[in-house]
Formats: sequence, C-alpha cells, structure tokens
Amino acid sequence: MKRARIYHRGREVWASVSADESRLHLPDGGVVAVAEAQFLPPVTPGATIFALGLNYADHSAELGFKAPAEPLVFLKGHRTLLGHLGASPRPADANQMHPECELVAIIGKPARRVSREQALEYVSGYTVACDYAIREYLENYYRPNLRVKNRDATTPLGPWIVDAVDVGNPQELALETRVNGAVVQAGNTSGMVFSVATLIEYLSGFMTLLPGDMILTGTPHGVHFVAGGDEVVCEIEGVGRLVNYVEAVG
Amino acid sequence: MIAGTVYGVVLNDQLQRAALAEAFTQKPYAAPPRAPVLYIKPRNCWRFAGAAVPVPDDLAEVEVAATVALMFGDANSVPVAAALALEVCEPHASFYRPAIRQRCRDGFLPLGEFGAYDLAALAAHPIVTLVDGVAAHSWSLARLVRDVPSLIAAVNDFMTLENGDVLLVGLPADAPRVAPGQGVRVAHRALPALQARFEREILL
Repeated sequence: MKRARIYHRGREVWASVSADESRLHLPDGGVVAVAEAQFLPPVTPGATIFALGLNYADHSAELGFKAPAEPLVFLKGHRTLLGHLGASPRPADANQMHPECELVAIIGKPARRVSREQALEYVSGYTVACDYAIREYLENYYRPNLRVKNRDATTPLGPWIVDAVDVGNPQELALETRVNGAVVQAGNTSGMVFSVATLIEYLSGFMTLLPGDMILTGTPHGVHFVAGGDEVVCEIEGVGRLVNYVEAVG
Repeated sequence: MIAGTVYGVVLNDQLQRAALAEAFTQKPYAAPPRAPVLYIKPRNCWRFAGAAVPVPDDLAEVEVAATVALMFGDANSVPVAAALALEVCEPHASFYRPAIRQRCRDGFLPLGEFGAYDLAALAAHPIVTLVDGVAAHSWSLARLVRDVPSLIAAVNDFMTLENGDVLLVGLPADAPRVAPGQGVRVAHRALPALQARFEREILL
C-alpha cells in the first residue's frame, strides 16, 4: 500500500493511493484525484530526520573524499521538508545548488540496539527525497552545516510512503534525477556504502529510533547545478517519482 | 512539551573562540566559522521535570553544559518563553563533522520549565551548575560571541525559527563532567531551576 499526506478541505489527512496511482482514498471514504491533490511531505510530526553524507562511493570520489569509515550522519528540522510538486527557493547567489535523489527509510517501531540482520523488520516503508545542497554555503564546522542542508523548503519528500513489504530489497533499486527532462543522476541503491540495515544497526546502537523517524540514505554521483524555473524529478524504482520546482528568490 | 525542532549552537563562547582561533585557521577548518554553527537535539534526547539521564555503558562520564533554551511562537524572531537546559554530550574535541553520536543519545537534553523571561535579566545573572550540591561551574550569556538578538537574526538569515522551535543559545567550553550516580542542579536568578540525576543506563 502507498500512503500520501495531503492538505484537504482545511486539514491534513493521510490517504491511501489507488493501485493505478490516479486516486487518493481518504479515511472517511472520500476520493481525491491525484492530479488535484495538495501533497504534503509524508512525515510524522516530531519525527527525527536523519540524513547521510558520502554514502555512495562514486559520489564521495566526485567530491574528492574517501568513503567514510563510520556513517556521516546529520539531522534536519521539519521546516526544510516540502511536499511533492512544491517549490524550493534558490537564493540569487546560490550558483552551486544541486539536487540529491535519496531513498528514505521510515522506522515503524521503536528500535534500540537492533542487529543489521533484524533491522529491516523495523522499517515500515520507503519514500523519495530530493536533498538539495548549496555548495557556496559549505563551512567546515559540523559539515554539512545547516546553512547548506536545513534551509526552509529545500528537502522535497514524497510523493508518498510505500509499504516496505511492497518494496522488497531496498539495496537493488534504480534511482534517477532528471532536470528539465535530462538525466543528471543515475544510480542504484546497491552502491550505498552503508546499507539501510547497517544504518539502523549503527543509529540504534547509541540512540532509540522511534516510529516515524526517517533516514535519508545519501545520494550517488551526479552533481548538477540548478537554475530558477527548473523542474527536478527524483525517481526511485518501485517507490515513487518526486517532482519539485526551483524558484529563484532574492 | 515541544512542538517544533530543538536547535543548539556551538562555538558561540568568546573564551572558546579565542582559545581555538589558531586551530580554526588550520585543517580541517581552514577558516573561522561565518554562519552560526548549529546542531539539532532530536526528541529522544528530551527529558522534562527532573527525569533521570541514562549514561550509556560505553561512557565513564559525560559533559554537562548549562545554557538557556528559547522557545519561539508564531511571530518570527521573538522568543516567547525561556527555560534552563542542560546540554549533555560525550566529550569530544572536533567540530568538523556533526556530533550525532556524541550529542544525540537518549536523555541527553534535560530541560527546565519554560516561562516568561526578560532578556536583560537573562544576560545579567550567572548560570550556575552544582554537582551533588557543590558549585562546579558558572558562566553567563555575556560570554556569547553572538548575543541573543544577533544570534536569532543570523539563524533566521537562512532558516526560520517559529511555531514551537527551541534554540539553545550557546555552550560554555569549560563545562564540567559528571559520572553515573551524580546529581546536577542548574540555577539562574531569572529562571526556574533544573535538576537532573545521572544513572548508569540499564538495557534489557
């Protein structure tokens, strides 16, 4: 099953997506056409949002880094999240703003000291993120710093969550980013340095993961700088196709 | 209860910045920080009303940095409430990569009671940390590199603080350390005191 969070008639609701992905079924029996839905990021209020840096060897090499020995984890607040078909602001001086297509794992039950062998039992579903970075704002303190990674509305997420059981093995999914139709990233989650299961083992080894927590698992190579007006599509096989627009500001 | 995200800022202590000025011209930093250096304390860290702080079995002791937490309301940029907070972490020296493992363990952010505040009074009086009843540390917001209004302005320059978000305004670099079995009390003349007991974590 797929679950979308939408804004509908004055409130936020979780809706299930029809098999042909054309309709959203509301809890009260109502139906909304996907084409008319106002998508919100499919996130649980209060959830911890983890993200990974340098988690694909080919992307690390592209940026001049060795793949890390320990996962490079950073956190995001909720105001950086944005729904499907949303607009991400691009400041006038952000000439090096680039999208990063990422598989997102959603935690389904509390996890503490979970082994990697059992870790995927704690994943309830998956979605897609476009984790924009603006390289001009990078500084070498708690890098990647929040000025790069936690700007308002620069982490599109969605369009919906797909149940883990329907995704199967999360480490063999093709992922792709297209900007105005041109492919700028084409990779496969098999290229992750630390798999979803390993990341859950790592994080739950020192803290408790709670239902709704999300792990953005990093991006493969393909740094492409975007401009105002660009349409950016991040797609992951069997999970979803997330559309976002770059909006010039300032 | 906290409805938003809890942010903290490091390297906002004048004494620390002076001590590290030379190091910050070297690798891996290359240049002193420009924007505020922020981090996030996720919800598994939050503890209220004197709940015990679990010390994981791989840590002999933890650093306890007393600070002020400001809570934002619906109006941009003006915090509507303040509380004492105790930023707990595994002692670490590097500021290069996000200190998730060091800072985000369960219970590593005891918070006092949020209430009305007066900014001038916050800065005018010391934040005193007592360990087992004995004064162990004292500092004040007069030591901040960016004072509260300029910190908030610098953060809002690239992200919005509002609707229940919380900002920890800075950490003293000379914060004391405590071990399991010890109790901490943080006091400030203009805010309700905060108490936290540290206990060895027991996992089933």
